[in-house]
Amino acid sequence: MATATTALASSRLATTSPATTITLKGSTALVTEFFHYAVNSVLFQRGIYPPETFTRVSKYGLTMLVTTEAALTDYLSATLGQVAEWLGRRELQALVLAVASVETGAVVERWVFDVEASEEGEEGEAAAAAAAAAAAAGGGGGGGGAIKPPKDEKAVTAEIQAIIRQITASITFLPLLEGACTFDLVFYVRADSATPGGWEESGGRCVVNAQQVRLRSFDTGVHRVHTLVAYARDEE
Amino acid sequence: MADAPAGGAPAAPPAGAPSAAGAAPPLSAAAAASKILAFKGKAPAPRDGYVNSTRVLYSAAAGPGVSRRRAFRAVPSAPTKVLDAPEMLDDYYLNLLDWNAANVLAVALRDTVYLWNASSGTIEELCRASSGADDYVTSLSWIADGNYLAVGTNSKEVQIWDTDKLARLRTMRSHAGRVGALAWNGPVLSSGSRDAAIHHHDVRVARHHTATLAGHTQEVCGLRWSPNGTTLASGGNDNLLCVWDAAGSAARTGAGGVATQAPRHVLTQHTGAVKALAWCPWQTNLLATGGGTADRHLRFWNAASGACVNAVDTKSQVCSIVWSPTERELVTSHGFSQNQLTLWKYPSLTRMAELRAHTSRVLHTALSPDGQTVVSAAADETLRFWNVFAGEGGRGRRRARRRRSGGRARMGRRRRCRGAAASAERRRRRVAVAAAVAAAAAAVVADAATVGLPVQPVWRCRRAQVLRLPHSPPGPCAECGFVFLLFG
Repeated sequence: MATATTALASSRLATTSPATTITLKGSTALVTEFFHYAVNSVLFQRGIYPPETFTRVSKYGLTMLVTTEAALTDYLSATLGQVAEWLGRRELQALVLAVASVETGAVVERWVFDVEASEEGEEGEAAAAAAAAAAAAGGGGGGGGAIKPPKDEKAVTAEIQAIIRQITASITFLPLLEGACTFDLVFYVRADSATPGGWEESGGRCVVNAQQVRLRSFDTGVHRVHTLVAYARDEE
Repeated sequence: MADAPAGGAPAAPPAGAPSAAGAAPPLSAAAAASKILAFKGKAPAPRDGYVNSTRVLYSAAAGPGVSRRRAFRAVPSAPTKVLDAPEMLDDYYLNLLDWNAANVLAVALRDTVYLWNASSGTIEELCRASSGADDYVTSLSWIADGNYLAVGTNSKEVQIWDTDKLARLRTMRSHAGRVGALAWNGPVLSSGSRDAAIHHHDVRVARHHTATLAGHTQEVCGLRWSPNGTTLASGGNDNLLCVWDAAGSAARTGAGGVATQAPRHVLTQHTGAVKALAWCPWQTNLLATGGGTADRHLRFWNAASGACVNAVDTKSQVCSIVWSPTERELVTSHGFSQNQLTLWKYPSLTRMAELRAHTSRVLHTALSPDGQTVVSAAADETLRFWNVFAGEGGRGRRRARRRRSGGRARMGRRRRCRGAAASAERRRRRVAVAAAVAAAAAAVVADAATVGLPVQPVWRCRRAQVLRLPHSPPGPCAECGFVFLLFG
């Protein structure tokens, strides 16, 4: 949608963008870190692993709980390392955390972190995001006419904090998980990206008869991450 | 904090396009083509035997089955009065308790029927079943208004007693087994027996046996006429619930002028003996039934269509059911393991209260004529009186109403039967009588002390110490204040 406009805008803004603008590299690090904490939060809050295997870490102005189980840490670092690569190439479209029952294997809960990467530009990613936002928002844009001021890390952290809070609060409406559960991470990537070694094609791990709740989003200027949780509807 | 679940949200997002619904900005053109990848090394499963802590937390916080969040009103959790009932038979298939419109409670203790006048507290022995050494009373039922009591016995008899004159009016023999259930419908008495038959007796005529209802194959243990007298419900040890028409359109007159009738509905959902039966007093055709140990379900039926409209697993044998005449509530009594009475809200079937005091299964319950007190008889040989429906004018009700009016407005008007004021007045009068009786008893003791007579020693009720006194003690228990009365 934004090809000529984007190029124009980015060339105009290239000189004026402030030093606090988040670059692709910085954004990748932020999003990867967010995934790490978000996945850990879900695992803790939903009680998928015993709470005593988690340790407290201060992050985003909140106390986060992070797993200390070696096998789980290895799994997360392996997958999230690959996620960082995909994010850096703007190939990742979504990260899905599927919670499945150990007994039946049925997916009972599905956390979706939708990633929307800004258009590829030489230098001005923020401008691209601004243009996209302007196109999407229509008349809703604030000061500066159609162009949104670039974001700094502090604002992004505040947005991430809100999402983590929502994940914590989600236990109030999500149904209790019956029996032992395990989880799996699946990733939606661009079809033209190469499958790395150690990875395999997978299904979408969708929930049958799902109810879904959209949580907040955050935007680094390069990546927009939308959060959504789907869970099996109670059968009354 | 969290958004409300999307109302009619469609099922899971289609594979290939994760969560493309709702407010999500459209993914860029390239996103249409995507592939799904997963790491080959999977996440470790939680260790064996780990129980989700949130599950433990939430199931424990819910309390022992009672919804704390929706405490509708204050329900007294202790009985207001305890009566000793020695030799109460521990037999699930009998019906040994009934309370009549004149406020007289009839109880059968093995072979003897006692009448306890709830207004005056006096006890009379009505009759003894005496046809043999092992004869005992198997069922009792008061006629709707009047002083006639029907008594069923192990000697296959149905007797009609005049409780004013303490005289037997007639004895009716038609059954081939003990008579475990009785129900009146005007002048017609229906009796259910161990011979699996239900007989209608017209007590006005000499040839009393007017109809035989054949639907059960085992002992009939539950029998209730609907309040409007058009339908009879019966439950048996064969796990069947039968619904019968009063008119008996399907009846055909057989030998000796006795009509045989087939049931309108045979309902087979229960998997245990059906003893607990109760017709809803404020909704026509609504029948509540409870199953025995093998079933443990409370079921609600539309008696007209035979449809099961509601069911709940009570986790315990259901021995009897009493509906509140004024509130949308009912009380059930249970056996192992809690031996409790449960107060339910209908139709939500939320447990409002669990009343635990009996130490053995609570076999029979009856409702006082003012509709406020439920009396329960248990195999632990006690009768306990519970003021479960005594909301009117009570402190708890007033407080609850204040709380309600301060909060959100009620949806619709509170439905309430007429006569609530009259019953409150009756209750006030009863309380006054009880106070006068207590004062008189205290005065007697005081007089004895002043003239130097030996005063009866301070006594303690069963809860403090098990003892059998030859006569009722002069006042309330020194420890817990129970008025102790003795049968027999």
